[in-house]
Amino acid sequence: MSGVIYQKLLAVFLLCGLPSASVIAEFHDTKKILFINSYHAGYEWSDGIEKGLETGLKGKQVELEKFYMDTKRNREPEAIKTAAEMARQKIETLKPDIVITADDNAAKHVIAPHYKDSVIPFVFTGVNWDASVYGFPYANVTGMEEVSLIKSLMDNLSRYSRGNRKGLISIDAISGKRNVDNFEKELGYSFDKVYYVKTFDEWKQRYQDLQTQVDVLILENPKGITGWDNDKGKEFIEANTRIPTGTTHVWLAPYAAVTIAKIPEEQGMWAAETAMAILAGKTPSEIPIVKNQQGRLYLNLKLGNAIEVVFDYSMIKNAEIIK
Amino acid sequence: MKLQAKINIFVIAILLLLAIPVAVSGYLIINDIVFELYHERYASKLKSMSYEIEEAYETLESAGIIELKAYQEGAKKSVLTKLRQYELEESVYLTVVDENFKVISADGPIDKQAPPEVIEVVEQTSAGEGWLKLAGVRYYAFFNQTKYWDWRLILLVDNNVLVSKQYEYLFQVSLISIVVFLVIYFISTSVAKTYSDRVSLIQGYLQKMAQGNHALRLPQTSMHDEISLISEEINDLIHQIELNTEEIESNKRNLEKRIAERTADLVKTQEYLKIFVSYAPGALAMFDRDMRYIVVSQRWLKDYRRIGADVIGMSHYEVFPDQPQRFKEVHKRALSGESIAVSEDSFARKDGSLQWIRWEVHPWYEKDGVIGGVIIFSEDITQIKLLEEEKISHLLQGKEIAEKANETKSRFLANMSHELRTPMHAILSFTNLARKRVDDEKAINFLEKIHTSGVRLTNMLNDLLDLSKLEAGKLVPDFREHDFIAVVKASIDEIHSLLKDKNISVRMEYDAALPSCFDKKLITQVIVNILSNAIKFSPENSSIDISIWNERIWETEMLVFSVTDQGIGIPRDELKDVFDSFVQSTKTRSDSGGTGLGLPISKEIIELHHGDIWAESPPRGKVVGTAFIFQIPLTRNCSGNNKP
Repeated sequence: MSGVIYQKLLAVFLLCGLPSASVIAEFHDTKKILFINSYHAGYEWSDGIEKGLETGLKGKQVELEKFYMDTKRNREPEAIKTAAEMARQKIETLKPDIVITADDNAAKHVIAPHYKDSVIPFVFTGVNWDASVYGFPYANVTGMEEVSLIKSLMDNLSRYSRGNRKGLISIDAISGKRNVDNFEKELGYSFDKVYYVKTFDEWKQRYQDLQTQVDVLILENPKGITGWDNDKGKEFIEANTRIPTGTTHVWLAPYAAVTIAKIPEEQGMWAAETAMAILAGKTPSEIPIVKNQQGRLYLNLKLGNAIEVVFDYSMIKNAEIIK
Repeated sequence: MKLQAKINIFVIAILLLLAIPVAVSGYLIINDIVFELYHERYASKLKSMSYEIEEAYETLESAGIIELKAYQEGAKKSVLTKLRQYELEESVYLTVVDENFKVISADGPIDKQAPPEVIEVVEQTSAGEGWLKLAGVRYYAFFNQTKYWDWRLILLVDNNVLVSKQYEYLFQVSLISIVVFLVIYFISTSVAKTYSDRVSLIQGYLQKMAQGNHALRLPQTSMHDEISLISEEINDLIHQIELNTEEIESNKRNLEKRIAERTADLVKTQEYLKIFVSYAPGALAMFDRDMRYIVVSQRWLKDYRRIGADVIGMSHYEVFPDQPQRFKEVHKRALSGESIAVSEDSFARKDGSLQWIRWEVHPWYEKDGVIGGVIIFSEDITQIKLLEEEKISHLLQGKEIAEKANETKSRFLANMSHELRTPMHAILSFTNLARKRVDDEKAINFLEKIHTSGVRLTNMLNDLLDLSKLEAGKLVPDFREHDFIAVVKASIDEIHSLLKDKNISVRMEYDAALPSCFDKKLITQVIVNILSNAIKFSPENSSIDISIWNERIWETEMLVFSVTDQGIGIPRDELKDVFDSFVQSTKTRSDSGGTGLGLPISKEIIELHHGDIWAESPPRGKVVGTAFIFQIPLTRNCSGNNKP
């Protein structure tokens, strides 16, 4: 008890006697931050990053300028090139103290070709899986890679599975296969059974097969599967699920028993914190590239009941319940 | 007792006086505080635990799985685990019981079923807390019933914990108080010692300085407080004293030098004075109050036949034992402060001759105003006196001769005038007769010239006669009361023809009628004379101003008559002379044609009236002309002494 009192007294003395030099020295004038969004305002993922960034910069003596490349709606190489050039011109005109980018296109078409080792520091966010494909890190570039939370998902599902066999079903497309490669390559996580499907019927068939072939099933993005029907897919899953299923895609939460989705705000918050550290004197090379870690938990109780799983109260307490 | 000791005692007394009530009230307050703290802490913890249960229930409810027993059991298990993880002090126990007081989770003295003592307190105490005793140990119980699942949470706090905490707090407060006491004491004594030492230091320095060691200076410190200021002020003061002492010494040396110089000057001056007095051309002697000689001139010794005698220090009455009593009286009066001077005095010498002296006796004063003695000055005027008597005798003889000559002259003039007037009347009368009988123009002309010259000669003779009468005192004025204004007007009428000849106007201003005593004939003569002169020297077509007024001069009311012309004027240096006999102004002499006797006669007449007459040229306030003014006493009653 006395120790606590003395600690408090010491804290009071320190607070009174040492005016925070760091606070005083932090900024003498308003710094300019340029946020280059690869997509457009209204795109849920990058909006989340932007929201996290704004939250992280709230109350700081900075001026945030935004530029949208809009390459989600304009995917043609020429359009992307034009958007990248406009972003570059924006940087040259604004002369920001730091640039924060969201998603791959900004990193690939703006940072990599124009600003390698330049005097302007860059913080990227939302670069999928591996930023080294763009040559990052540079002396003036650091950031947060966007990876799937598959490992965390599997850890949770394994609490309710009967065995250790892991299966995955995904669209038979490059994106689907790349994800599986990344699970293995980036996360060192492998599956016992993986099916790539092209049609809804094929998907249903493989889903049923996996109920007996593995103990835990991961659902990857079914969009692009020919004949996919959300409602029918939901009905099918509710009727045919026997083992714990999970996904890392938030829009698949109604189709899986457990969903652990990435949180875009984490990317934005980290970018804001990193930008402030750089503005305070750190160099980007002193800050290592990191991966996202936070996830949002969704529990589908119907599917839980269907597979006779009683989720822990601790999970229920922290999850978004899908009834 | 020293200042520091007093301050120490004062500080200890204050701290002790503060310590007793602080200790007593501290003990009481700490008891309350400890109990209150525990109350707050455990009541609050119990509330948090209840919230945990409520939250779990409501989470399941909102998830729609509250009816699922598996989820309820999982939640209860999870909650109980959480409750057990709450940080509680040693000898503080949490027990969870169901609605039948069957233990769900237990820690401490309660096992499977809550004992009656616990049930009694929980059921009968609405405040949610109370004392109870289990197995001889006293506990303070906090308890509540949960909103869901009908659980009761019971916290038992061992009384020993409360007591030990009280002692712990008391010990800490006491320790802190003692530390604070000691810190205050040491700070106070240290500060007091610092100031006391500094004051002692100043005192020591001041004592040394008082003993004359002015070269010392109080050491200065970096502290800027009152004592430092006092030290600085003392140093400044000492510096000033040093400067003043040096200045005083310098002034003293200068003063001594000046005194020596002045003393030498004084001695020299005294010598000079002695020499001066000694060789003074007069008889001079200075005496003290006892009439002893202080200084005396050689002339004194010579005049009083004491050449060669050393009289300094001797009494005047020893030197002159036969001093007349009247001189002794004079000396006494002078010693009383009176200055006495006699311009002529005499006394008989031993040889019987008379010695004339002029003497003065004055008191002299000391610096404090007391009479120090007398100074006697005397001058032997015997020779002067004899010369004066001889001169007066000669003057009286001369005067007598002159008076006789003047009388003879006046008589001669009167006789001559009278004797000349008789043939002149004959000449004038026969000239008139001759003019009437002669027809020859030339002869008439000659006769008229003879007649005119005769008239002029007669006038001259009349004037001479008048003047001689006046000078001889033979003219006795006939003082009567007349109206002066009327006399003036009549005089103007008398000379009317002269005014008309030159077309001269007369402006007259006067006070109201001025009756006075005067000789009408004589005053008329004066007025006519003045007016005639004015007309004579005024240019044609000019004017003459007459002013008459009365004026008080000293105690006498005077009648003033003034005639101002616009003529050629009289030089200033000749203004006085025009009243002398046979004198005329250089400006008017050539063409006046007068005898030069009119104004002297006028002067004699006015003086006969005890008045004055004078001329101003130019008159006051004017640039040309001449003013003749006379004034006579304005006497209205002609009887007795009222005559002018």
